[in-house]
Amino acid sequence: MKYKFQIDKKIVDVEIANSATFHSPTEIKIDNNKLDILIGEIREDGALSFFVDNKLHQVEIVRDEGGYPQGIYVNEEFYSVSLLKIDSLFYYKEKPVSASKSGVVKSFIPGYIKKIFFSVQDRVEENDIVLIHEAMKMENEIRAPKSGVIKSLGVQEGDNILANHRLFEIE
Amino acid sequence: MKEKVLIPTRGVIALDIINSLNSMGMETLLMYSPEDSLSLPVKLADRSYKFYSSRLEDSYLDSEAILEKAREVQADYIHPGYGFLAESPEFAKLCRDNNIRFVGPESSVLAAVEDKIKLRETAASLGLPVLKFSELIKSPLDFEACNSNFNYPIIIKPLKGSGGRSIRVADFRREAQEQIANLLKREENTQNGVFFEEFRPYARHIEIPFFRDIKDNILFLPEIESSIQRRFQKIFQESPAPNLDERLRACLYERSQVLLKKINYVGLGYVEFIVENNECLFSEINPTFQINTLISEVHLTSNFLKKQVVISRGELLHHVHGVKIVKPKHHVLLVSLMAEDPYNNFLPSTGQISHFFHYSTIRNVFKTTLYTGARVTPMYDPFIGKILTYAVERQNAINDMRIFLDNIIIRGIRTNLVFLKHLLENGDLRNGGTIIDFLHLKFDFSKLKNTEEESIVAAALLAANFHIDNRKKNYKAKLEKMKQPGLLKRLFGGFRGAQ
Repeated sequence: MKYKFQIDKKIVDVEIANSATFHSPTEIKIDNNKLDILIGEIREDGALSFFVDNKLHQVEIVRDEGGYPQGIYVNEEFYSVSLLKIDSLFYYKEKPVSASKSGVVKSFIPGYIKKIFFSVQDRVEENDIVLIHEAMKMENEIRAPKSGVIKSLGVQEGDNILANHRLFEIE
Repeated sequence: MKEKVLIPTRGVIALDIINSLNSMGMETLLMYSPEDSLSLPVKLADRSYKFYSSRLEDSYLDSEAILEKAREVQADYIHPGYGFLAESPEFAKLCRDNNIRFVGPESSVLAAVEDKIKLRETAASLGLPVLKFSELIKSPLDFEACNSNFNYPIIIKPLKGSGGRSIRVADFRREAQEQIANLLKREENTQNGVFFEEFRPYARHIEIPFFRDIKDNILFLPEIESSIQRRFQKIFQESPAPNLDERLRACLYERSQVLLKKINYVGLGYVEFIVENNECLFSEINPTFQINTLISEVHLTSNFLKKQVVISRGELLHHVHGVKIVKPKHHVLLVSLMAEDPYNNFLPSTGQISHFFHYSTIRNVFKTTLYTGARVTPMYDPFIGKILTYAVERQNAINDMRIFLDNIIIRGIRTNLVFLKHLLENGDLRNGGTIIDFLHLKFDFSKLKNTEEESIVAAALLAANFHIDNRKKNYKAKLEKMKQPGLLKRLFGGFRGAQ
């Protein structure tokens, strides 16, 4: 099988034998290099370790909703990646719609709503601090992405919230 | 009967207190919030009592609830750890009124140290050069009146309280106005007020740890440099400070001594200075046990938590008459392990630890509350551990630390481990050029590039992983196909019919 990846803006071609399982050292061709790869450990949480030329590397893969790789952590170092081609098939990745355009603001990490400065129907200007979201002693000032009227608030002061919780909507 | 100590705190410091005071023959009684039910201190304390809520005001900051429990269990001591109530003069006074020893300075001392403007005025009146500071600001109008002769950038701080939580830096006047207005929206700040001081990005932050007893005996420990900070949290600390002039060092001790005598400080503390161009400016005093106390423990090879308890009983320092300055035998480094994702703007990372191990040598100390299965909650500090290394030479200590970081594996959350590794490889740091704004001016994590060789390996690993997944998917698809009822019937239908 032939794969084409983009890794940190660099495009690489990889060739792997169809039958490769990596349970025994297996050679793969990458650009003009040859590397021996062997699985070290497969864990329940999806993290793996591999031997590359007999050196062990810890690997964790970040995937998008479709299950395609978005990034890879090798020994905690991050590389952004995208899959371009498998054999002769092309893959196109759609860009996610940014939340700020729609006026809906969501929490990006879990935390605690410390203070809300506005209520529903209040007028806010772009960049006003709407609420203070606290996570691990760190206060994040959540600002209005655009000017408008607060249509709805998804939280109250003192709420504990998870990541991706709808905080407020501006119209 | 064993003496009892109540410990209303959490995290690494709670573990330290439990261990040290248990070994002094005390009974350790922990108070913990529901959020911390599964934490390591709960497993190790002699007895544990749960607060009814995880809200800070109803748990670790609830002095009423803590004192009530202390009376109920007849505690002899309360050790507040650091943060939370450890610097509160009101709480220290409440303990005293209830005949419970507060492990820390007297409430009058805490009050003197808490008001940062007054403390600097006291220092200035003794002839100590101090970091330039503004008057107290209680409304945005006060700011208009007092900002004329300041050079920007400035640092805006609440008058009372510690920790980096509400400290802001402003690069120009309009930004300062906005930041001050925002800070003053908080209740505690409108009451106590805020102030600002000059921000010196190229200066160094140096602390002098000390113990002082009631007879004016002072034990000074080697100075600690903790310039490198992120969001005003100390990340990398070392002792002794590299490339520090001997005269300057002597001057730091001398000035600390004068000031401590004036405010009659008894107990453990840290005098903080800002050092630039051969001048050392007094900044503030930190009256609690700190993360970096571990460094001083290595220099003195003694347990400071025990010493702190002994001093708080009113006993004298052992073998110290007058002033004793401990000479460093080793170069000691300490880094803070934080649950922050360096690849996501250092935002906190929370979750369950799925895998954790480390391997240490005789010169490494790794103190952490992590274990496989532990939960890192978003309620508290991202600080999850501290790692110490020491060696005779600074260069060796840095090398040892760098190698030790490779011996730690943490999975389940993201940590700043990879950031620390890159930091220790930085040339400026290795040459001893640490300054306050180091992480902006000399080292930018987001701009570090992976080498070509590394990205080839990463690509190979990605491809191998993807290939395995793909094979699995194909295999599963084949299995699904075989499970189809039509297929089964075709293959086995005849037999089943016969039954």
